[in-house]
Amino acid sequence: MNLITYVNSIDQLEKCNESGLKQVILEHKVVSRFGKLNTSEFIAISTRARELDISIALEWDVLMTESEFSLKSDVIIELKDYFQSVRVQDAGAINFAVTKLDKKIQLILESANHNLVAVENWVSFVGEKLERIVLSIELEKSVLKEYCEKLDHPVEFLGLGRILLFYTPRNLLSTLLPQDDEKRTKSMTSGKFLEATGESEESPHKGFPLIENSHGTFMFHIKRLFLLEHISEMNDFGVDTVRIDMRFDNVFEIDKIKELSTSTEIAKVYKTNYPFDVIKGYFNINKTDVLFKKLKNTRIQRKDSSYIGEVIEIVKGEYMAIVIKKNSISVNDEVTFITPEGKEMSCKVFFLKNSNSEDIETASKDQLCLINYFGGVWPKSQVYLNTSI
Amino acid sequence: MSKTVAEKASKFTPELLSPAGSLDKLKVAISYGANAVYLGGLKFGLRSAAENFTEEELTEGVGFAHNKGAKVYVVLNGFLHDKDLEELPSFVQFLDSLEVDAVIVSDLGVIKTVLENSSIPVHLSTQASCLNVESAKLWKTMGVERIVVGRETSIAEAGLIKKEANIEVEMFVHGSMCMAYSGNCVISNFTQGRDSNRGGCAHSCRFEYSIDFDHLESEEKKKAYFMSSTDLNGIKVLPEYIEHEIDSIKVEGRMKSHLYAGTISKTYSEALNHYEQNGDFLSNQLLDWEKELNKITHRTYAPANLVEKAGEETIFNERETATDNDYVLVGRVVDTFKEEFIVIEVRNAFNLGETIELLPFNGPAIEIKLDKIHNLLNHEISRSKPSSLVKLPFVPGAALNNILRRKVLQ
Repeated sequence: MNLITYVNSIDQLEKCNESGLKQVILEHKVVSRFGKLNTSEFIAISTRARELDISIALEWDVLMTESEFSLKSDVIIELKDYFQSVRVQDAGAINFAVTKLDKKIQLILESANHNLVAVENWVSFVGEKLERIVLSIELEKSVLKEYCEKLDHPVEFLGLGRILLFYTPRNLLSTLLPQDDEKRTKSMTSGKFLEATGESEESPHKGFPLIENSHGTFMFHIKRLFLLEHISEMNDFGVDTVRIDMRFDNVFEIDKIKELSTSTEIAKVYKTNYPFDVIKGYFNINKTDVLFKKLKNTRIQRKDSSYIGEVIEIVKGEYMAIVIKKNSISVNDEVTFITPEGKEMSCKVFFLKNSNSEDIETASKDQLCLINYFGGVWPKSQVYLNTSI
Repeated sequence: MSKTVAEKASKFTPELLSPAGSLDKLKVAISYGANAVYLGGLKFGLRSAAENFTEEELTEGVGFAHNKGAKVYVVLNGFLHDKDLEELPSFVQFLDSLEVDAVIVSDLGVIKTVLENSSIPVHLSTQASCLNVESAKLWKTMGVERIVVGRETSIAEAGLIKKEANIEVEMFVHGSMCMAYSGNCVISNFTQGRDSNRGGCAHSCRFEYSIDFDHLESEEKKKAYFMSSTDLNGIKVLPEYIEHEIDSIKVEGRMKSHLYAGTISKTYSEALNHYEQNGDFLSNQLLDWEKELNKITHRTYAPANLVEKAGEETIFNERETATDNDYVLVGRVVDTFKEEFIVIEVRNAFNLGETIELLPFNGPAIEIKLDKIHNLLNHEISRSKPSSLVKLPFVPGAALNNILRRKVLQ
C-alpha cells in the first residue's frame, strides 16, 4: 500500500522522504484548484524531489473554459521537465494529456463515474499512459473492492481529508466584503485564499469551510473524511494508493500517518486525538437514492392500457369532470379510480355529458366529459376502464 | 457592404428546445412553437420530483411531437451507479422503438450503454461540464453527436467549440442556473442523503447562509444567499447565438408551470421566426419579447456567462420567494365548444370584472374582460376557485391547451 500526499514546501517534501513516500502531488497556482506554488517554487521542490528520487505528480484539476485552456496548458508545457505524472479531471485536460503530453496520467474520476462501464471506458481511452485511477469517495467499499478486482490498473482512494461539496468559478465571498477590505481583491490574485465558514438555518450542519481564490469559490463538508483505520482493509481489496490530504491543516504529519497505516489500532488512537470532526462518508454504504421514491406521488402516474384519464373537477352530488387522455369512455362502462392517497374505488357510468351539459354516449381522447358523482373520489384521481389496473 | 434582407434571411437559425415536465406541458410547449422538447422518464434523469413521463406518456408525447414536426430528446443525465445501469438497456431499447430523436447523457457508462443498445443519437448533457474544444473532441470520439456546453461557456466559446471540434452545440438561453459547475455539486449528497446527480438536488445553494470571515474580528456575520444564481435571460443576445451558429438554444425548467412552458416557447419562437423571415432583429422587438419574458415567474434576470464572465450581479441575494413575476397563470383551456364558449381549468382564482389574457399560439395576447363567468352547471358565478372548471365566452383564436394569465396586483 502506497501513501501519497500534497506537498507545498521543501520541508514537507523532506518529511515525505523520511516517511518513505515514492511520489508526491505538487500543485501550481495556475492549474490546481488549491495551488499556491508559483513556477520557481514548483521547480525548486521538483528539483529537490529528483535528488531524493521522489516522483512528482502535477495536479491539473481546474475546470477550464476555452479562453482559459491555452493559458493553463501553456503552464503545463512550461513545467513539463519538472513532473513525471499529471493528474487530470477536465475532459479537455484528459484529452490534452493523452494526445499532446508525454507523461504518465493519473485519471481523476472522483466527480461521478460510479459505474464500471464508465471507468473501464475512461481507462481504455487513456490507454498505455495510464498510471493510476482516482476513484470517487461516493463508492461504497463493496464496489471499491469489485473495481479493484476487475480493473487492470492501480486504484487511488482518499483516506483522509476535506470533502469538497461545491465548486464554482465565480467569486462569491469577496463580494460580501467592504470595498476597502484588502482581502476583497487579493483572493482574486493567483495563489491567495479568502477563507470563511458558512452556516444556514435551513441546514442542521454548521460551519461549512469556504474558500475563494483565483479559480472560484469552494465549499467543503464540516467534517473530514477519515478512513485511516480502514487502510489495511483497502489494502486487502487491492487499493494501490491511499491519498492523505493535509492541505488545510496546520500540521503536516505524514510520518505519523505512515506509521499508523500499518496498524488499525494506532489509527483509532490517532482518530481520537484528531483535531477535526470526522466521518466515513459512504465507505460502508451509499443509500443516496432511497429517498427518491418519496419525492413524488406515484399513485397519480398513469399505468396501463386501460387508462382513460384524470379527474379535474368534482362538484359534490352533481358530477365529476374527466379529461380523456387515452381510449374512450361510454355510458354503462365500469371505471376504477385511484385517488392521490392510493384508494381504489369503482363505479358505473350512469350518465355522460359534454361541457355544454348535453348527453353523449361516448367521450374520446382529448375530450372533456362529465360523469355521475361518486363519493370519495378526488381531483387528480386517475381513471381506468373496468377493474384491470 | 450591408447584406440584403434575402441574404440575411438565408442565415442559420437555431432550434428552440423547450422543457416538457409532463405530457400536458409537452403539448403546450410544442403548440406554442418549440422545435424540440426535452423530457425525462421515470428514472435515470435529474428531476426525481418532477412528474416525468411513464412509458405510455412517452409514447403519446413522441407521437404528438413528431406529428407536429417537433423533436423529442429524452434525458438520461444522471450519474448512474452500477445497479442503475442494469435497468437501462431495456429502457433504451424502448426509446429506440419510439424513435426518439436523441438522448441527453452525462455519464460515459450511460453513453456506451445507449450506443450498444440502440441507434439513438447521443447528446452530452451540461452536467458533464464540457467547456473547451479538447473536451468536445474527446466526447466526440466517445460517440457524442451534440454537446450541451457547460453554463460557464460564453456564446463565442461555444461557437469555437462547434467549429474546432466539428460538432453540434446546444446552449442554455433561459432559466434557472446552477451556481456550481454542473455535476460538481454534492451538497445534497453529503448533507441530506440525496444524490444530486441522480435527481435528488435539494437546492441548498438557494439557502441563506451566515458567513464568518476568518480575517474579520467582528462578531457580526454576513448574511447572504451567496450561492444562489440569478436566472439566465438571453433574449437580448439572440443575434450572438445566431452569429456563432449555435445549433440549439435551450430553455431550463421542467419543474415549471404551463405558463412558463407556453410563454418561453412562444416568445423565443416568435423571435427566431422573425429572424428567419427578416434576417435581423429590431431593438424595439427585442424589448417587446423581453417584456413578455418578465411576465413569467423568475428570479432577477442576468446574462450570466453568455457574453462576459459572470460577475457580482449574477448572485441572487434574496429570499427564494422574492420573485419578480408580473403575471400569474390563471388556467388552461381544456375544452372549446362550437365557438360558443371555452372551458378553463382554473389554477389561480379570478373575479368577475377583471381582465385576463389568453395567449393564442400565434399573435399577441388577447385581453378578455370578464363580464360573465359560468360554472359547468351553467350557473353564473362571481369568482372562480382554483382546481375548478369555468366557462368563458368563446374568443376567436382560442384553442385547446391555450394558457391564460392575469396581471398581479402590485
